[in-house]
Amino acid sequence: MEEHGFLEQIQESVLGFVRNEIFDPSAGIETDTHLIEAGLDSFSLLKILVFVEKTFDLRIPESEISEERMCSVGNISALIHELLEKK
Amino acid sequence: MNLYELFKDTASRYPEKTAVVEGNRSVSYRDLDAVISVLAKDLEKLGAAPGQMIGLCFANSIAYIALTYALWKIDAAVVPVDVDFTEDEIRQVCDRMQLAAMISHKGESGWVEARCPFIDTPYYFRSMDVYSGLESDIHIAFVRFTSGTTGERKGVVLSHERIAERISAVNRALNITPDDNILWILPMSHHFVSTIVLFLASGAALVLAGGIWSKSILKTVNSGHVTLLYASPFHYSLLAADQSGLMMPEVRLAISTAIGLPGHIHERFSGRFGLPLAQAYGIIEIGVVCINTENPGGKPGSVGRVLPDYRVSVENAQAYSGPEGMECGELFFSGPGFFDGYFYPRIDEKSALINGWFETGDIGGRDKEGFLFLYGRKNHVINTAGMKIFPQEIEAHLNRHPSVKESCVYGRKHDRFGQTVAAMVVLNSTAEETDEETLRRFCSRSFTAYKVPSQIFFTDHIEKTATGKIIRPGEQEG
Repeated sequence: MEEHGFLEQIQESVLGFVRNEIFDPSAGIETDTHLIEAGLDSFSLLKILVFVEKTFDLRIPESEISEERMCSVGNISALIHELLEKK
Repeated sequence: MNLYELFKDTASRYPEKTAVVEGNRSVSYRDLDAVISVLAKDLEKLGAAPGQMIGLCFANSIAYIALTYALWKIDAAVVPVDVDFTEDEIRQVCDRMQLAAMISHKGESGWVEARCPFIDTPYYFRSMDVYSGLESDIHIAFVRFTSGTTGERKGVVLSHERIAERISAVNRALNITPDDNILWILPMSHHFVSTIVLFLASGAALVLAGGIWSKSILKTVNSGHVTLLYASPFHYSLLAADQSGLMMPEVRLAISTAIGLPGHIHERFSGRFGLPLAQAYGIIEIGVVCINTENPGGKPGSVGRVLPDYRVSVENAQAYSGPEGMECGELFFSGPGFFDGYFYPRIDEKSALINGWFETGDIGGRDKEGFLFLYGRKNHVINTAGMKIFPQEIEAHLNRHPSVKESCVYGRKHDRFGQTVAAMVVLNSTAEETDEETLRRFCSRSFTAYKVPSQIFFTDHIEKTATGKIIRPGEQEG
């Protein structure tokens, strides 16, 4: 139960940032929205990586920065969760 | 001289050769010339005219290239506008650069919808009805808008002649031939006149990357028989971490630009692909003046020796200390193809240069063999992944927030992106509680994403000089 709650917290935080600060809030980004199709570019990716570093004290390694792992808030959150577990 | 004529000349020599590849579509030089020619006529019908400054807000595409050359064909000047600019920023470009019209990838009411011939890409055109054209004795091809607060110079003006001079100077290092296929990944709105114009004047093919992810880049590199990469350290760091095992057997040269190349990225990339990474040093005002194609492996971290057509001078050396045997100071350059001055306020080239020398504001060192190394900036311009940000512009905006008393914006060192934007903020004593996210969102409404501070710290005072000038923190470790 606790594990599930932690992932949800990560999702909430990432979703808030991506929905309001990367895209226009009116775009209505959800956890499963395909961010690359929605227009995620390299500067948006940069902002997300800096946000993750600051918020979770976590540097996502280059080997994990792929289309599959970064294509939605859900996937990014799962990646953060997985990397934090390993820490 | 006109850059379109330069392209047309190449197109007539290599009509069948591929000029640009975008996904599954490719256009030959002949076809691209046909697109440009029809587009030029269409744009004239829509109201574009010689001598006008026209904004171009488009993502990387064949259409971007065709629209730029079509505007040049009708002797209008191109002012690139970032696709993710906010409405405030677009308004600022239109006013300050006195745009007669704007061409965009998206339109609203009042915009005329049209389509690029043959490639069928839609675009939108809007006349501004305020400025019809410029009286200028310079044959302006391109103006790079630089935002900032009042008092800062805005708009780097480049004529057709100067762009032609600079591409010929840079080609002494790159030696581009019709056998080259170049992978293009950087935003065209920021990189065009020293690179794409050269590639298309040389009969090479541009292969547009479909994304920034290593897997798709490697697929494009191999399917497009790419011989030259031109990208930023971040792109190379993603490629270096690729685990697919795919190699890049046809690549003869990989160039890193936009920000300084961290040593570990160079090592990992070279280790993964067996290719050295040549670091380039370019500034919009003067072009690409250094590329370390000579000895990237033996002189890691160096941007190389100054290219043969340019001269470098290391000034005020007494104020800087550097490693043993290195002459350190402020870097000045002279040479061909420098800009024709600033647009607003209008400053001609003669006044913008000091006896023909351009002051870069960069602090660098030169070793005994003449290899240059960059150490930092003399002023406080922030460079985040190659995008230049004036801290005063962000401060002026933050200070307009009702809860903010004053602010100080500065660059924090970041190993991936060079620097990120940070801010220190003093709140009004009577202010309602305001948090970091609120202030960031306040900035997001007016600024494109890279200008929005990634970190905002609250403090109770900001250090100033005796005359009240903000003392910005030096580059801090992130």
